[in-house]
Amino acid sequence: MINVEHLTKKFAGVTAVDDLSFTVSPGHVTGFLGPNGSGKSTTMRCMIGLDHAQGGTTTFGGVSYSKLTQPLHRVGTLLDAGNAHSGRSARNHLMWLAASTGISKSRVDTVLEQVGLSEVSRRRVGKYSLGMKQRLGIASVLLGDPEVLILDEPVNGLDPEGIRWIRELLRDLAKEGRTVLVSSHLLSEMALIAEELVVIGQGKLITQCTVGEFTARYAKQWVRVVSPQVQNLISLARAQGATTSEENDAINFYGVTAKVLGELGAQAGVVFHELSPQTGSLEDAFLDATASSVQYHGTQVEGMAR
Amino acid sequence: MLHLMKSEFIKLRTLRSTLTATIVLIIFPVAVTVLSAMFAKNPNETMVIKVLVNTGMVSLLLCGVLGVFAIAQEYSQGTIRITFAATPLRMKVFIAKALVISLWIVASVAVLEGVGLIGANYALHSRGFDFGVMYHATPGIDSAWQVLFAFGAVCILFALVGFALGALLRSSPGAIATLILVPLLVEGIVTGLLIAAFDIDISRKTPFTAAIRAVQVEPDAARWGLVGYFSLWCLVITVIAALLMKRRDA
Ligand SMILES: Nc1ncnc2c1ncn2[C@@H]1O[C@H](COP(=O)(O)OP(=O)(O)OP(=O)(O)O)[C@@H](O)[C@H]1O
Ligand SMILES: [Mg+2]
Repeated sequence: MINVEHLTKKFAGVTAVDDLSFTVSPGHVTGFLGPNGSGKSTTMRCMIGLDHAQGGTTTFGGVSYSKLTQPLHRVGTLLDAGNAHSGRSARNHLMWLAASTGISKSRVDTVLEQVGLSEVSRRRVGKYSLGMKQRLGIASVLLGDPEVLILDEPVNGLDPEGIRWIRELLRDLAKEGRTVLVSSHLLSEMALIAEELVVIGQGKLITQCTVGEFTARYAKQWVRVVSPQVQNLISLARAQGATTSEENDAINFYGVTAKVLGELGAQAGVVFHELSPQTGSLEDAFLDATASSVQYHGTQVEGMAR
Repeated sequence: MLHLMKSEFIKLRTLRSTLTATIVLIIFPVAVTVLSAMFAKNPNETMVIKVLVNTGMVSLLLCGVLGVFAIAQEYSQGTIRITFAATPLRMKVFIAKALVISLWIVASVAVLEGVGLIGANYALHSRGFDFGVMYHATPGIDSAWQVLFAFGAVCILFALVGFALGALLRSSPGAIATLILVPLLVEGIVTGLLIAAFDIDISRKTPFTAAIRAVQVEPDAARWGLVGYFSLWCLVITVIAALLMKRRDA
Protein backbone atom coordinates (compact mmCIF):
# COMPACT_ATOMS: atom_id res chain seq x y z
CA MET A 1 0.00 0.00 0.00
CA ILE A 2 1.46 3.33 -1.08
CA ASN A 3 0.09 6.62 0.20
CA VAL A 4 1.12 9.82 -1.52
CA GLU A 5 -0.16 12.95 0.19
CA HIS A 6 0.08 16.53 -1.01
CA LEU A 7 3.39 15.94 -2.76
CA THR A 8 4.87 19.14 -4.18
CA LYS A 9 8.16 19.49 -6.05
CA LYS A 10 9.43 22.69 -7.59
CA PHE A 11 12.54 23.14 -9.72
CA ALA A 12 13.77 26.70 -10.04
CA GLY A 13 10.55 28.24 -11.25
CA VAL A 14 8.87 25.08 -12.57
CA THR A 15 6.32 23.26 -10.43
CA ALA A 16 6.81 19.68 -11.60
CA VAL A 17 4.53 18.08 -9.02
CA ASP A 18 1.69 20.13 -7.57
CA ASP A 19 -0.07 19.05 -4.37
CA LEU A 20 -0.45 15.50 -5.68
CA SER A 21 -2.26 12.89 -3.59
CA PHE A 22 -3.15 9.32 -4.52
CA THR A 23 -3.05 5.80 -3.14
CA VAL A 24 -1.85 2.56 -4.67
CA SER A 25 -3.33 -0.64 -3.30
CA PRO A 26 -1.97 -4.17 -3.47
CA GLY A 27 -3.43 -6.94 -5.59
CA HIS A 28 -3.58 -5.22 -8.93
CA VAL A 29 -1.42 -3.11 -11.21
CA THR A 30 -1.95 0.63 -10.96
CA GLY A 31 -1.12 2.69 -14.03
CA PHE A 32 0.46 6.10 -13.50
CA LEU A 33 -0.49 8.08 -16.54
CA GLY A 34 0.33 11.50 -17.82
CA PRO A 35 1.60 13.22 -20.95
CA ASN A 36 5.32 13.97 -21.41
CA GLY A 37 6.63 16.34 -18.80
CA SER A 38 3.61 15.93 -16.54
CA GLY A 39 5.81 14.96 -13.59
CA LYS A 40 5.59 11.15 -13.44
CA SER A 41 9.31 10.53 -13.11
CA THR A 42 9.72 13.41 -10.68
CA THR A 43 6.89 12.04 -8.52
CA MET A 44 8.56 8.63 -8.44
CA ARG A 45 11.94 10.11 -7.50
CA CYS A 46 10.29 12.10 -4.70
CA MET A 47 8.44 9.02 -3.46
CA ILE A 48 11.70 7.22 -2.69
CA GLY A 49 13.52 10.28 -1.45
CA LEU A 50 15.94 10.71 -4.36
CA ASP A 51 14.55 14.18 -4.98
CA HIS A 52 13.62 16.23 -1.96
CA ALA A 53 10.00 17.36 -2.20
CA GLN A 54 9.14 20.83 -0.93
CA GLY A 55 6.02 19.46 0.66
CA GLY A 56 3.98 16.33 1.22
CA THR A 57 4.71 12.77 2.25
CA THR A 58 4.87 9.31 0.76
CA THR A 59 4.47 6.24 2.93
CA PHE A 60 4.82 2.55 2.21
CA GLY A 61 2.59 0.62 4.59
CA GLY A 62 2.65 3.69 6.83
CA VAL A 63 6.44 4.12 6.78
CA SER A 64 8.35 6.69 4.78
CA TYR A 65 11.00 5.32 2.41
CA SER A 66 13.98 6.66 4.33
CA LYS A 67 12.72 4.90 7.48
CA LEU A 68 12.46 1.46 5.85
CA THR A 69 15.03 -0.85 7.38
CA GLN A 70 15.87 -2.79 4.23
CA PRO A 71 14.40 -0.78 1.38
CA LEU A 72 15.48 -3.21 -1.36
CA HIS A 73 13.40 -5.92 0.30
CA ARG A 74 10.38 -3.66 0.63
CA VAL A 75 10.30 -1.45 -2.46
CA GLY A 76 11.83 -2.20 -5.86
CA THR A 77 12.27 0.78 -8.14
CA LEU A 78 13.09 1.02 -11.83
CA LEU A 79 14.02 4.47 -13.13
CA ASP A 80 15.64 5.43 -16.42
CA ALA A 81 16.32 2.01 -17.94
CA GLY A 82 18.10 0.61 -14.93
CA ASN A 83 20.80 3.23 -14.42
CA ALA A 84 23.64 0.75 -14.82
CA HIS A 85 27.28 1.71 -15.47
CA SER A 86 28.08 1.02 -19.12
CA GLY A 87 31.53 -0.32 -18.25
CA ARG A 88 30.32 -3.01 -15.88
CA SER A 89 28.76 -6.37 -16.69
CA ALA A 90 25.13 -6.95 -15.77
CA ARG A 91 26.18 -9.57 -13.26
CA ASN A 92 28.67 -7.27 -11.54
CA HIS A 93 26.06 -4.53 -11.51
CA LEU A 94 23.67 -6.77 -9.61
CA MET A 95 26.52 -8.06 -7.45
CA TRP A 96 27.33 -4.71 -5.90
CA LEU A 97 23.65 -3.96 -5.44
CA ALA A 98 23.11 -7.33 -3.76
CA ALA A 99 26.18 -6.91 -1.57
CA SER A 100 24.96 -3.57 -0.27
CA THR A 101 22.14 -5.28 1.61
CA GLY A 102 23.61 -8.71 2.07
CA ILE A 103 21.66 -10.47 -0.69
CA SER A 104 23.33 -13.72 -1.82
CA LYS A 105 25.12 -14.38 -5.11
CA SER A 106 22.69 -17.17 -5.95
CA ARG A 107 19.83 -14.67 -5.84
CA VAL A 108 21.67 -12.62 -8.48
CA ASP A 109 21.79 -15.64 -10.77
CA THR A 110 18.13 -16.39 -10.09
CA VAL A 111 16.93 -12.94 -11.16
CA LEU A 112 19.24 -12.92 -14.19
CA GLU A 113 17.62 -16.20 -15.20
CA GLN A 114 14.16 -14.78 -14.54
CA VAL A 115 14.65 -11.80 -16.87
CA GLY A 116 16.41 -13.89 -19.51
CA LEU A 117 19.85 -12.31 -19.30
CA SER A 118 21.85 -15.29 -17.96
CA GLU A 119 23.59 -15.90 -21.26
CA VAL A 120 24.81 -12.33 -21.64
CA SER A 121 25.26 -11.48 -17.97
CA ARG A 122 29.04 -11.16 -18.26
CA ARG A 123 28.88 -8.74 -21.16
CA ARG A 124 29.31 -5.02 -20.49
CA VAL A 125 26.05 -3.12 -20.12
CA GLY A 126 27.30 -0.56 -22.65
CA LYS A 127 26.86 -3.22 -25.34
CA TYR A 128 23.24 -3.89 -24.34
CA SER A 129 20.21 -2.82 -26.32
CA LEU A 130 17.64 -0.60 -24.60
CA GLY A 131 15.41 -3.63 -24.14
CA MET A 132 18.19 -5.59 -22.45
CA LYS A 133 18.89 -2.65 -20.15
CA GLN A 134 15.21 -2.58 -19.21
CA ARG A 135 15.43 -6.27 -18.38
CA LEU A 136 18.48 -5.61 -16.23
CA GLY A 137 16.50 -2.86 -14.52
CA ILE A 138 13.69 -5.33 -13.85
CA ALA A 139 16.25 -7.78 -12.46
CA SER A 140 17.46 -5.17 -9.98
CA VAL A 141 13.86 -4.50 -8.97
CA LEU A 142 13.23 -8.20 -8.34
CA LEU A 143 16.53 -8.72 -6.50
CA GLY A 144 15.16 -8.03 -3.02
CA ASP A 145 11.81 -9.75 -3.70
CA PRO A 146 9.97 -6.56 -2.67
CA GLU A 147 6.25 -6.29 -1.93
CA VAL A 148 6.05 -2.89 -3.61
CA LEU A 149 7.22 -2.25 -7.17
CA ILE A 150 7.58 1.17 -8.79
CA LEU A 151 8.48 1.19 -12.47
CA ASP A 152 9.00 4.22 -14.69
CA GLU A 153 8.08 3.43 -18.30
CA PRO A 154 9.33 -0.17 -18.15
CA VAL A 155 8.10 -1.06 -21.65
CA ASN A 156 10.19 1.69 -23.23
CA GLY A 157 12.42 0.10 -25.84
CA LEU A 158 10.97 -3.39 -25.56
CA ASP A 159 9.79 -5.33 -28.58
CA PRO A 160 6.24 -6.77 -28.66
CA GLU A 161 7.43 -10.03 -27.13
CA GLY A 162 9.19 -8.13 -24.35
CA ILE A 163 6.13 -5.98 -23.76
CA ARG A 164 3.96 -9.07 -23.38
CA TRP A 165 6.55 -10.57 -21.02
CA ILE A 166 6.53 -7.49 -18.80
CA ARG A 167 2.77 -7.29 -18.86
CA GLU A 168 2.43 -10.87 -17.65
CA LEU A 169 5.22 -10.51 -15.11
CA LEU A 170 3.64 -7.43 -13.55
CA ARG A 171 0.18 -8.95 -13.51
CA ASP A 172 1.53 -12.09 -11.85
CA LEU A 173 3.42 -10.06 -9.27
CA ALA A 174 0.27 -8.08 -8.49
CA LYS A 175 -1.77 -11.28 -8.24
CA GLU A 176 0.63 -12.49 -5.54
CA GLY A 177 -0.63 -9.55 -3.51
CA ARG A 178 2.10 -7.05 -4.31
CA THR A 179 1.60 -3.36 -4.89
CA VAL A 180 2.61 -2.36 -8.42
CA LEU A 181 2.80 1.20 -9.79
CA VAL A 182 3.75 1.54 -13.46
CA SER A 183 4.07 4.83 -15.28
CA SER A 184 3.40 5.39 -18.95
CA HIS A 185 2.26 8.08 -21.31
CA LEU A 186 0.32 5.53 -23.38
CA LEU A 187 -3.15 4.73 -22.08
CA SER A 188 -3.68 1.92 -24.59
CA GLU A 189 -0.63 0.16 -23.14
CA MET A 190 -1.79 0.74 -19.57
CA ALA A 191 -5.31 -0.46 -20.29
CA LEU A 192 -3.82 -3.89 -21.01
CA ILE A 193 -1.86 -4.11 -17.76
CA ALA A 194 -3.57 -1.93 -15.20
CA GLU A 195 -6.90 -2.14 -13.46
CA GLU A 196 -6.59 1.13 -11.63
CA LEU A 197 -5.38 4.44 -13.05
CA VAL A 198 -3.80 7.51 -11.52
CA VAL A 199 -3.93 10.20 -14.20
CA ILE A 200 -1.95 13.43 -13.85
CA GLY A 201 -1.38 16.51 -15.96
CA GLN A 202 1.09 19.32 -15.21
CA GLY A 203 1.87 17.72 -11.88
CA LYS A 204 -1.74 17.77 -10.70
CA LEU A 205 -4.05 14.82 -10.17
CA ILE A 206 -6.72 14.64 -12.85
CA THR A 207 -8.40 11.51 -11.61
CA GLN A 208 -7.86 8.23 -9.83
CA CYS A 209 -10.26 5.50 -10.86
CA THR A 210 -10.53 2.12 -12.56
CA VAL A 211 -9.91 1.79 -16.27
CA GLY A 212 -13.66 1.16 -16.77
CA GLU A 213 -14.67 4.26 -14.84
CA PHE A 214 -12.14 6.31 -16.74
CA THR A 215 -13.62 5.23 -20.04
CA ALA A 216 -17.15 5.83 -18.84
CA ARG A 217 -16.29 9.27 -17.57
CA TYR A 218 -14.00 10.60 -20.25
CA ALA A 219 -14.69 8.57 -23.37
CA LYS A 220 -17.18 10.09 -25.79
CA GLN A 221 -20.40 8.07 -26.12
CA TRP A 222 -22.83 8.49 -28.99
CA VAL A 223 -25.43 6.64 -30.99
CA ARG A 224 -25.06 5.86 -34.65
CA VAL A 225 -28.22 5.79 -36.66
CA VAL A 226 -28.95 4.79 -40.27
CA SER A 227 -32.52 5.41 -41.30
CA PRO A 228 -34.46 6.61 -44.38
CA GLN A 229 -36.45 9.02 -42.16
CA VAL A 230 -33.46 10.26 -40.22
CA GLN A 231 -34.41 13.97 -40.68
CA ASN A 232 -37.54 13.32 -38.62
CA LEU A 233 -35.52 11.73 -35.89
CA ILE A 234 -33.00 14.59 -35.88
CA SER A 235 -35.64 17.21 -35.17
CA LEU A 236 -37.23 15.04 -32.48
CA ALA A 237 -33.86 14.43 -30.79
CA ARG A 238 -32.81 18.07 -31.01
CA ALA A 239 -36.00 18.99 -29.20
CA GLN A 240 -34.65 16.76 -26.39
CA GLY A 241 -31.35 18.67 -26.36
CA ALA A 242 -29.28 16.24 -28.40
CA THR A 243 -26.69 17.27 -30.97
CA THR A 244 -25.86 15.47 -34.20
CA SER A 245 -23.16 15.09 -36.78
CA GLU A 246 -23.07 13.44 -40.15
CA GLU A 247 -20.80 10.55 -40.95
CA ASN A 248 -21.09 9.13 -44.48
CA ASP A 249 -24.57 7.62 -44.70
CA ALA A 250 -25.10 7.66 -40.95
CA ILE A 251 -25.91 10.28 -38.37
CA ASN A 252 -24.23 10.39 -34.96
CA PHE A 253 -26.40 11.49 -32.04
CA TYR A 254 -24.74 12.95 -28.94
CA GLY A 255 -26.33 13.54 -25.54
CA VAL A 256 -29.07 11.01 -26.02
CA THR A 257 -29.22 7.25 -25.39
CA ALA A 258 -30.07 4.55 -27.93
CA LYS A 259 -33.10 3.64 -25.81
CA VAL A 260 -34.58 7.15 -26.02
CA LEU A 261 -33.85 7.38 -29.75
CA GLY A 262 -35.52 4.01 -30.35
CA GLU A 263 -38.65 5.06 -28.49
CA LEU A 264 -38.80 8.45 -30.20
CA GLY A 265 -38.43 6.71 -33.53
CA ALA A 266 -41.14 4.17 -32.78
CA GLN A 267 -43.62 6.90 -31.85
CA ALA A 268 -42.91 8.74 -35.12
CA GLY A 269 -42.92 5.59 -37.24
CA VAL A 270 -39.23 5.86 -38.14
CA VAL A 271 -37.64 2.78 -39.72
CA PHE A 272 -34.14 1.97 -38.35
CA HIS A 273 -31.51 0.26 -40.48
CA GLU A 274 -29.01 0.76 -37.70
CA LEU A 275 -29.19 1.99 -34.11
CA SER A 276 -25.94 1.35 -32.29
CA PRO A 277 -24.31 2.88 -29.18
CA GLN A 278 -20.64 3.85 -29.74
CA THR A 279 -17.74 4.51 -27.37
CA GLY A 280 -14.70 6.59 -28.28
CA SER A 281 -11.22 5.12 -28.02
CA LEU A 282 -9.31 5.11 -24.77
CA GLU A 283 -6.60 7.19 -26.39
CA ASP A 284 -9.13 9.90 -27.21
CA ALA A 285 -10.44 9.76 -23.65
CA PHE A 286 -6.93 10.24 -22.31
CA LEU A 287 -6.27 13.12 -24.67
CA ASP A 288 -9.55 14.75 -23.60
CA ALA A 289 -8.82 14.25 -19.91
CA THR A 290 -5.35 15.74 -20.14
CA ALA A 291 -5.99 18.20 -22.96
CA SER A 292 -6.00 21.31 -20.79
CA SER A 293 -2.82 20.22 -19.06
CA VAL A 294 -0.58 19.09 -21.88
CA GLN A 295 2.67 20.93 -21.46
CA TYR A 296 4.20 20.58 -24.88
CA HIS A 297 1.58 21.08 -27.55
CA GLY A 298 2.70 20.30 -31.05
CA THR A 299 2.49 23.47 -33.06
CA GLN A 300 1.12 23.18 -36.54
CA VAL A 301 3.38 24.36 -39.31
CA GLU A 302 1.54 27.19 -41.08
CA GLY A 303 1.86 26.00 -44.63
CA MET A 304 0.75 22.50 -43.77
CA ALA A 305 -2.41 23.63 -42.03
CA ARG A 306 -3.81 25.01 -45.26
CA MET B 1 28.48 -0.78 7.13
CA LEU B 2 30.47 -3.88 6.17
CA HIS B 3 27.87 -4.77 3.54
CA LEU B 4 28.11 -1.27 2.13
CA MET B 5 31.90 -1.38 2.09
CA LYS B 6 31.85 -4.69 0.29
CA SER B 7 29.45 -3.20 -2.24
CA GLU B 8 31.73 -0.21 -2.79
CA PHE B 9 34.71 -2.52 -3.14
CA ILE B 10 32.93 -4.49 -5.87
CA LYS B 11 32.18 -1.22 -7.66
CA LEU B 12 35.88 -0.30 -7.67
CA ARG B 13 37.22 -3.65 -8.75
CA THR B 14 34.71 -4.20 -11.56
CA LEU B 15 35.57 -1.06 -13.53
CA ARG B 16 38.35 -0.96 -16.07
CA SER B 17 39.00 2.73 -15.42
CA THR B 18 39.75 2.24 -11.72
CA LEU B 19 41.87 -0.83 -12.36
CA THR B 20 43.90 0.94 -15.03
CA ALA B 21 44.48 3.98 -12.85
CA THR B 22 45.57 1.73 -9.98
CA ILE B 23 47.98 -0.29 -12.10
CA VAL B 24 49.56 2.82 -13.59
CA LEU B 25 49.92 4.51 -10.22
CA ILE B 26 51.82 1.47 -8.96
CA ILE B 27 53.86 0.52 -11.99
CA PHE B 28 55.15 3.93 -13.02
CA PRO B 29 57.18 4.84 -9.90
CA VAL B 30 58.21 1.23 -9.32
CA ALA B 31 59.58 0.87 -12.84
CA VAL B 32 61.47 4.17 -12.80
CA THR B 33 62.91 3.50 -9.33
CA VAL B 34 64.12 0.01 -10.13
CA LEU B 35 65.56 1.13 -13.45
CA SER B 36 67.47 3.96 -11.81
CA ALA B 37 68.81 1.59 -9.16
CA MET B 38 69.99 -0.67 -11.96
CA PHE B 39 71.68 1.97 -14.04
CA ALA B 40 72.57 5.00 -11.90
CA LYS B 41 76.32 5.71 -11.82
CA ASN B 42 76.70 6.51 -8.12
CA PRO B 43 73.61 5.28 -6.38
CA ASN B 44 72.93 5.98 -2.73
CA GLU B 45 70.05 5.48 -0.32
CA THR B 46 68.65 8.98 -0.68
CA MET B 47 68.59 8.79 -4.45
CA VAL B 48 66.33 5.74 -4.48
CA ILE B 49 63.79 7.31 -2.14
CA LYS B 50 63.97 10.57 -4.09
CA VAL B 51 63.21 8.88 -7.39
CA LEU B 52 60.40 6.90 -5.85
CA VAL B 53 58.71 9.92 -4.32
CA ASN B 54 59.29 12.25 -7.25
CA THR B 55 57.84 9.83 -9.78
CA GLY B 56 55.20 9.25 -7.13
CA MET B 57 53.78 12.70 -7.94
CA VAL B 58 52.07 11.03 -10.88
CA SER B 59 50.67 8.44 -8.49
CA LEU B 60 49.49 11.21 -6.22
CA LEU B 61 47.40 12.72 -8.99
CA LEU B 62 46.13 9.29 -9.97
CA CYS B 63 44.99 8.73 -6.38
CA GLY B 64 42.96 11.90 -6.74
CA VAL B 65 41.57 10.63 -10.04
CA LEU B 66 40.53 7.38 -8.34
CA GLY B 67 38.74 9.41 -5.68
CA VAL B 68 36.93 11.33 -8.41
CA PHE B 69 35.94 8.14 -10.23
CA ALA B 70 34.57 6.58 -7.05
CA ILE B 71 31.74 9.09 -6.97
CA ALA B 72 31.53 11.18 -10.15
CA GLN B 73 30.99 8.13 -12.35
CA GLU B 74 28.02 7.18 -10.21
CA TYR B 75 26.42 10.49 -11.06
CA SER B 76 27.32 10.45 -14.74
CA GLN B 77 26.09 6.88 -15.17
CA GLY B 78 23.01 7.23 -12.99
CA THR B 79 23.96 4.42 -10.61
CA ILE B 80 23.89 6.89 -7.72
CA ARG B 81 20.10 6.67 -7.81
CA ILE B 82 20.23 2.92 -7.30
CA THR B 83 22.84 3.34 -4.60
CA PHE B 84 20.72 5.85 -2.69
CA ALA B 85 17.53 3.86 -3.25
CA ALA B 86 19.22 0.84 -1.66
CA THR B 87 20.71 2.94 1.16
CA PRO B 88 18.63 6.06 1.82
CA LEU B 89 21.04 7.19 4.55
CA ARG B 90 23.39 9.00 2.21
CA MET B 91 25.89 9.78 4.93
CA LYS B 92 26.47 6.05 5.36
CA VAL B 93 27.15 5.70 1.64
CA PHE B 94 29.52 8.65 1.76
CA ILE B 95 31.49 7.22 4.67
CA ALA B 96 31.61 3.71 3.19
CA LYS B 97 32.92 5.10 -0.08
CA ALA B 98 35.53 7.26 1.64
CA LEU B 99 36.72 4.32 3.76
CA VAL B 100 36.92 1.90 0.84
CA ILE B 101 38.77 4.32 -1.41
CA SER B 102 41.21 5.04 1.45
CA LEU B 103 41.85 1.34 2.03
CA TRP B 104 42.26 0.84 -1.71
CA ILE B 105 44.89 3.59 -1.76
CA VAL B 106 46.65 2.21 1.34
CA ALA B 107 46.95 -1.18 -0.33
CA SER B 108 48.13 0.30 -3.63
CA VAL B 109 50.71 2.54 -1.97
CA ALA B 110 51.96 -0.35 0.18
CA VAL B 111 52.52 -2.38 -2.98
CA LEU B 112 54.09 0.61 -4.74
CA GLU B 113 56.56 1.35 -1.93
CA GLY B 114 57.21 -2.29 -1.04
CA VAL B 115 57.87 -3.52 -4.56
CA GLY B 116 59.74 -0.34 -5.47
CA LEU B 117 62.15 -0.61 -2.53
CA ILE B 118 62.63 -4.35 -2.63
CA GLY B 119 63.21 -4.15 -6.37
CA ALA B 120 65.68 -1.28 -5.96
CA ASN B 121 67.49 -3.10 -3.15
CA TYR B 122 67.77 -6.21 -5.22
CA ALA B 123 69.13 -4.24 -8.14
CA LEU B 124 71.70 -2.49 -5.92
CA HIS B 125 72.84 -5.72 -4.28
CA SER B 126 73.20 -7.51 -7.55
CA ARG B 127 75.46 -4.66 -8.71
CA GLY B 128 77.67 -5.29 -5.68
CA PHE B 129 76.70 -2.27 -3.60
CA ASP B 130 76.70 -3.33 0.01
CA PHE B 131 73.92 -1.05 1.20
CA GLY B 132 70.16 -1.38 1.03
CA VAL B 133 67.81 1.54 1.16
CA MET B 134 66.39 0.89 4.58
CA TYR B 135 69.34 -0.75 6.27
CA HIS B 136 71.11 2.39 7.37
CA ALA B 137 69.91 5.54 8.93
CA THR B 138 69.39 7.42 5.71
CA PRO B 139 71.79 10.33 5.53
CA GLY B 140 70.44 13.70 4.57
CA ILE B 141 66.80 13.23 5.49
CA ASP B 142 64.99 12.73 8.75
CA SER B 143 64.20 9.12 7.95
CA ALA B 144 63.25 7.16 4.87
CA TRP B 145 60.34 5.72 6.77
CA GLN B 146 58.96 9.15 7.52
CA VAL B 147 59.02 10.09 3.85
CA LEU B 148 57.31 6.87 2.87
CA PHE B 149 54.58 7.24 5.49
CA ALA B 150 54.06 10.88 4.62
CA PHE B 151 53.77 9.90 0.97
CA GLY B 152 51.12 7.31 1.84
CA ALA B 153 49.20 9.83 3.92
CA VAL B 154 49.25 12.45 1.18
CA CYS B 155 48.09 9.83 -1.36
CA ILE B 156 45.05 9.08 0.80
CA LEU B 157 44.35 12.78 1.27
CA PHE B 158 44.57 13.37 -2.49
CA ALA B 159 42.09 10.56 -3.02
CA LEU B 160 39.74 12.15 -0.49
CA VAL B 161 40.05 15.57 -2.09
CA GLY B 162 39.30 13.97 -5.46
CA PHE B 163 36.36 12.19 -3.90
CA ALA B 164 35.00 15.40 -2.41
CA LEU B 165 35.49 17.30 -5.70
CA GLY B 166 33.76 14.48 -7.58
CA ALA B 167 30.83 14.63 -5.18
CA LEU B 168 30.60 18.41 -5.50
CA LEU B 169 30.99 18.69 -9.27
CA ARG B 170 29.37 15.35 -10.21
CA SER B 171 31.49 15.15 -13.33
CA SER B 172 34.77 13.31 -13.77
CA PRO B 173 36.32 15.73 -16.30
CA GLY B 174 35.45 18.77 -14.19
CA ALA B 175 36.74 17.30 -10.96
CA ILE B 176 39.93 15.93 -12.54
CA ALA B 177 40.65 19.26 -14.21
CA THR B 178 40.24 21.03 -10.86
CA LEU B 179 42.44 18.48 -9.17
CA ILE B 180 45.26 18.93 -11.67
CA LEU B 181 44.98 22.64 -12.39
CA VAL B 182 44.77 23.88 -8.80
CA PRO B 183 48.08 22.37 -7.65
CA LEU B 184 49.92 22.89 -10.92
CA LEU B 185 48.68 26.32 -11.91
CA VAL B 186 46.16 28.10 -9.75
CA GLU B 187 48.07 28.04 -6.49
CA GLY B 188 51.23 29.32 -8.16
CA ILE B 189 49.40 32.07 -10.01
CA VAL B 190 47.48 33.23 -6.94
CA THR B 191 50.66 33.21 -4.86
CA GLY B 192 52.53 35.18 -7.51
CA LEU B 193 49.76 37.74 -7.91
CA LEU B 194 49.43 38.30 -4.18
CA ILE B 195 53.15 38.85 -3.83
CA ALA B 196 53.26 41.23 -6.77
CA ALA B 197 50.17 43.21 -5.82
CA PHE B 198 50.12 43.26 -2.04
CA ASP B 199 53.47 41.85 -1.04
CA ILE B 200 51.66 39.07 0.81
CA ASP B 201 53.39 35.69 0.70
CA ILE B 202 51.00 32.77 0.98
CA SER B 203 53.39 30.31 -0.61
CA ARG B 204 53.65 28.42 2.67
CA LYS B 205 49.88 28.29 3.09
CA THR B 206 48.56 26.99 -0.22
CA PRO B 207 47.19 23.50 0.44
CA PHE B 208 48.48 21.47 -2.49
CA THR B 209 51.92 23.05 -2.39
CA ALA B 210 52.02 22.15 1.31
CA ALA B 211 51.05 18.56 0.51
CA ILE B 212 53.77 18.22 -2.08
CA ARG B 213 56.39 19.79 0.18
CA ALA B 214 55.43 17.30 2.88
CA VAL B 215 56.89 14.46 0.82
CA GLN B 216 60.10 16.15 -0.33
CA VAL B 217 63.24 14.20 0.46
CA GLU B 218 65.02 16.84 2.49
CA PRO B 219 65.36 17.51 6.18
CA ASP B 220 62.18 19.32 6.94
CA ALA B 221 60.97 19.21 10.50
CA ALA B 222 57.61 20.55 9.31
CA ARG B 223 56.77 17.39 7.34
CA TRP B 224 53.92 16.25 9.57
CA GLY B 225 52.79 19.79 10.19
CA LEU B 226 52.32 20.18 6.44
CA VAL B 227 50.43 16.89 6.24
CA GLY B 228 48.21 18.07 9.09
CA TYR B 229 47.63 21.40 7.38
CA PHE B 230 46.62 19.68 4.14
CA SER B 231 44.31 17.31 6.03
CA LEU B 232 42.49 20.30 7.49
CA TRP B 233 41.74 21.50 3.98
CA CYS B 234 40.64 17.99 3.03
CA LEU B 235 38.39 17.82 6.05
CA VAL B 236 36.69 21.09 5.19
CA ILE B 237 36.03 20.24 1.55
CA THR B 238 34.95 16.70 2.48
CA VAL B 239 32.45 17.93 5.06
CA ILE B 240 31.02 20.44 2.58
CA ALA B 241 30.73 17.68 -0.03
CA ALA B 242 29.01 15.35 2.43
CA LEU B 243 26.49 17.96 3.54
CA LEU B 244 25.66 18.95 -0.02
CA MET B 245 25.34 15.33 -1.09
CA LYS B 246 22.73 14.90 1.61
CA ARG B 247 20.78 17.99 0.60
CA ARG B 248 20.86 17.91 -3.18
CA ASP B 249 18.55 15.90 -5.43
CA ALA B 250 20.23 12.73 -6.64
N1 LIG C 1 16.20 17.96 -12.40
C1 LIG C 1 15.31 18.82 -12.94
N2 LIG C 1 15.58 20.13 -12.99
C2 LIG C 1 14.69 21.00 -13.51
N3 LIG C 1 13.49 20.66 -14.01
C3 LIG C 1 13.16 19.35 -14.00
C4 LIG C 1 14.05 18.37 -13.46
N4 LIG C 1 13.44 17.16 -13.57
C5 LIG C 1 12.26 17.39 -14.14
N5 LIG C 1 12.07 18.71 -14.41
C6 LIG C 1 10.87 19.31 -15.01
O1 LIG C 1 9.76 18.80 -14.32
C7 LIG C 1 8.70 18.53 -15.22
C8 LIG C 1 8.27 17.08 -15.07
O2 LIG C 1 9.27 16.22 -15.59
P1 LIG C 1 9.18 14.64 -15.49
O3 LIG C 1 10.43 14.10 -16.07
O4 LIG C 1 8.85 14.26 -14.10
O5 LIG C 1 7.95 14.30 -16.42
P2 LIG C 1 7.44 12.88 -16.94
O6 LIG C 1 6.00 12.84 -16.68
O7 LIG C 1 8.27 11.80 -16.35
O8 LIG C 1 7.69 12.97 -18.50
P3 LIG C 1 8.05 11.82 -19.56
O9 LIG C 1 6.78 11.15 -19.95
O10 LIG C 1 8.63 12.61 -20.70
O11 LIG C 1 9.03 10.91 -18.93
C9 LIG C 1 9.21 18.88 -16.59
O12 LIG C 1 8.74 20.17 -16.90
C10 LIG C 1 10.70 18.89 -16.45
O13 LIG C 1 11.27 19.84 -17.32
MG1 LIG D 1 9.55 10.32 -17.21
